[in-house]
Amino acid sequence: MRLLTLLIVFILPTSVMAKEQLNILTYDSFTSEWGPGPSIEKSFEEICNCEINWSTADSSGALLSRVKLTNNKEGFDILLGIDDSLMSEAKDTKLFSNHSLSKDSLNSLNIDWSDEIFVPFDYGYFSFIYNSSKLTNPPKSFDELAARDDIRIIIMDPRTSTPGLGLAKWIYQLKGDESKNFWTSLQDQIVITSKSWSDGYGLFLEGEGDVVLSYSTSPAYHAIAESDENYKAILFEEGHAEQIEVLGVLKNAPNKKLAEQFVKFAITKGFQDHIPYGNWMYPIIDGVEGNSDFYKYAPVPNSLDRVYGSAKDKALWINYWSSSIE
Amino acid sequence: MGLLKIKLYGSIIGPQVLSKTNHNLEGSLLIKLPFYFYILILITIGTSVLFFFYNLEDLSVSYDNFFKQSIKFTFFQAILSTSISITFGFILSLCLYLSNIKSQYITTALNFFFIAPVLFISYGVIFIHGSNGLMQKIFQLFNLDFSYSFFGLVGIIYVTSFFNIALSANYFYRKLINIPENYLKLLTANKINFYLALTKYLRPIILNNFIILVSMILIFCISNFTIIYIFANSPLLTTIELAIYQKISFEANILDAVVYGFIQSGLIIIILIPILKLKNNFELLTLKQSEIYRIYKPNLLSGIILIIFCFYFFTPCLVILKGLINFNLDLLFSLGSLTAFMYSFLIAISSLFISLLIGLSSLFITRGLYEKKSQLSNFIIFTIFIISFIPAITLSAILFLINSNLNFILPNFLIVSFVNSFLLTPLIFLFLLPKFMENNKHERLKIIQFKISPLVRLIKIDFLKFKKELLIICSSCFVLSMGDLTSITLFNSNSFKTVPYLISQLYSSYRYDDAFFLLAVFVIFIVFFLYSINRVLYKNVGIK
Repeated sequence: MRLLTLLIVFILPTSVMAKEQLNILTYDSFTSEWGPGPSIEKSFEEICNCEINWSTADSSGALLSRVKLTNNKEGFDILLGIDDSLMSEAKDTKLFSNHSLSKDSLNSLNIDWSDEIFVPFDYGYFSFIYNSSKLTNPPKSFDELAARDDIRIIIMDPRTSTPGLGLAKWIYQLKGDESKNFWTSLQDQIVITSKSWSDGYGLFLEGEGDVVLSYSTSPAYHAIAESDENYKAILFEEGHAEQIEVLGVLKNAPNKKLAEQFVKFAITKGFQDHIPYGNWMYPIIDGVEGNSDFYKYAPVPNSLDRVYGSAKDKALWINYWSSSIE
Repeated sequence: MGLLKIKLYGSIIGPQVLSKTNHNLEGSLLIKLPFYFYILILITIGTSVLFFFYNLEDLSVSYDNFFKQSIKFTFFQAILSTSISITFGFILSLCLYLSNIKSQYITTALNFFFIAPVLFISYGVIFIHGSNGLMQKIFQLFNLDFSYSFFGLVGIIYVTSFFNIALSANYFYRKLINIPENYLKLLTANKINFYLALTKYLRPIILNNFIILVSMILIFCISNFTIIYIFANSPLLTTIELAIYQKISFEANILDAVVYGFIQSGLIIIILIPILKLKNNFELLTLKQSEIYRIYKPNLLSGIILIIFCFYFFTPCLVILKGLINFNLDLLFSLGSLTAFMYSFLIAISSLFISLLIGLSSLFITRGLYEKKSQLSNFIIFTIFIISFIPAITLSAILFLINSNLNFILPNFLIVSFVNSFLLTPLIFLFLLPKFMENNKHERLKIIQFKISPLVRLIKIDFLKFKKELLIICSSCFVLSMGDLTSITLFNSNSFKTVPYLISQLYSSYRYDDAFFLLAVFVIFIVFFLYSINRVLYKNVGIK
């Protein structure tokens, strides 16, 4: 009896004191020490009286597959990090529920957004990054890049990486049915097709290529975090494809209420303040502090029209790429 | 007098009658239990796969051009690497045989290079040969404008061959030093030089069971995952195993992954058929002689070749120096690192324990059936090897699905341990089989005569026979399991990582100094561990 009493005395308070857990599935770099995850976690935990439990996949491309494989039996509340190209495919899984943000909340964002399921948390533009101390005359257009046999290009696999898919979409937006020919003209210069953005970018930094597919905001990281202003984005005359990263609440989330609270938090300053200098992408609200340096090194390029690709569109973009290498 | 009569009676009647009446089976069921459990898991896996297929609405599998290309590339790189590995392994073994280096050091070094973590060698090679590597820095120092890229087929073959050259060199070297002393004396007495002896007289000895080595290396190359993942610079350079990983990780397409897995399994079974003949000749890697009888001397050519191979094998190890220069105590004692080390140990110990239990159990059953001249012994060998045919990624995915349907009652580390153990069990089985079967006919008579139970036979007779081999294979399997990066790529999470996975994450995040430091610590631990085992093994001098 005494033992039972002791057990109740010690176990009960801990169970009462145990905080609610919010389980978020995202990509590796988001939750790394240098990513925005730890700061966002700290900010959110101050207001929610909860704990965020991060789970990660190797790349953004693997996030959706993870929940599809098990119908989210692993019990994630939020999926954070797929992009607008994968939204349609994600909706087809019927694993996501509608968010509870009002139209007014969405209208306050600095990008046009009306989706009922997914909420944006940052955006960027695809671009090729080069080291200006090594490549002194970068191309000014996509056509010029394709014509320059002296430039070694690193890209990502469109099947496994959202930047890779973004490139396939970008080329299709510019070239349409001529995409296959354009891809063919680029192939000789593509020295590495990596599985993920971080693999490809790392190889570029190691000197394995002259330019790498990345975001127009990447130079800001080198300039601000590393005090290295040599890395620059090639700004094409034709325009750049946009990428919007989103998060969504899973239908069978164990903590729906907490998940909704986090979604609301994602479009507030508490979350967005950590995006420019954490995730090195553009924030989706105005008034984020200390942005002037960020925009100095990451000017917004000419944007192409926004395209939300369906699964069929995705297959078409990938097909143009794959037919050029077979 | 009475005792003498019983002995005479027993010898006249023969052991057959004695076996029917006096065989002690105490402990037999206990020893066989792990194997029965293993069969149960195989049946569960098979049933789950059938159940999965049965419940699918759409059974169409995509055999796109990428998959067809992956089959071509799998075999192309496997055949190329196998040819290179066997050729250079043979050349290296000759040079080592002619050298004055003690055989103990040679076999230890070759063992180490075969089981070294793939990540260590891969990053070591990139450290030396990458565009920002040591070789490029040396060229720049001498104003030499010579650049090359190691990513692609060159890097894949270079690194894959590293391990397989060590394996084949070990194989041929042991064949050479097992040549009987009086045979060599006969050759020298007839003034036959080394190369003539090799090509004309020693060839049958050296090439005996050679096809098994070819099969083993081909299978290792076909199952190539980590090296392809790191060095492939194009979607055309994909093996079936990597294609399976992509199907699971990026498309959530288990059906395609399982079918591709079975296609690879089928292809490997065909290659593995020669190994089934092994039961008739158990002396694949056993060493008989304690020291080489040196009659042939090294020459300039063998010396130069040996130096080149030393450069090939030892230069990747320079990454350890790079790692130690960037000493980071905070990283070493960080929660992430400590957790990773803990999980690596846990997985290595559990997978070794599971594979040892299943391995010994299946050896026991195989020997029992072989002694009864039953063809079922082939079936046991087949069931042990069948699981190694299935790609680790496919196996991981199937176990992941089973666990998911059970609402994740099994922790991830246990699943990773099971996957690793299924791949280690055939190694343990193959390595211990010669010693296990040694002298079995004579032993069987004595065991029946003295009514020795199977458990007592295993502990007091078998363990004494193969304790050295057991120590070698257990330490090798422990290191192989610790350094594995295959199934953990599917099962990792923020709280579940192993050391190789953590190192690869640090590397992918451009934290090269941290990655190399952790890699250096990891490799130093492995070297220290293997050195300790080596000291125990060679304590009383002699290889036997």
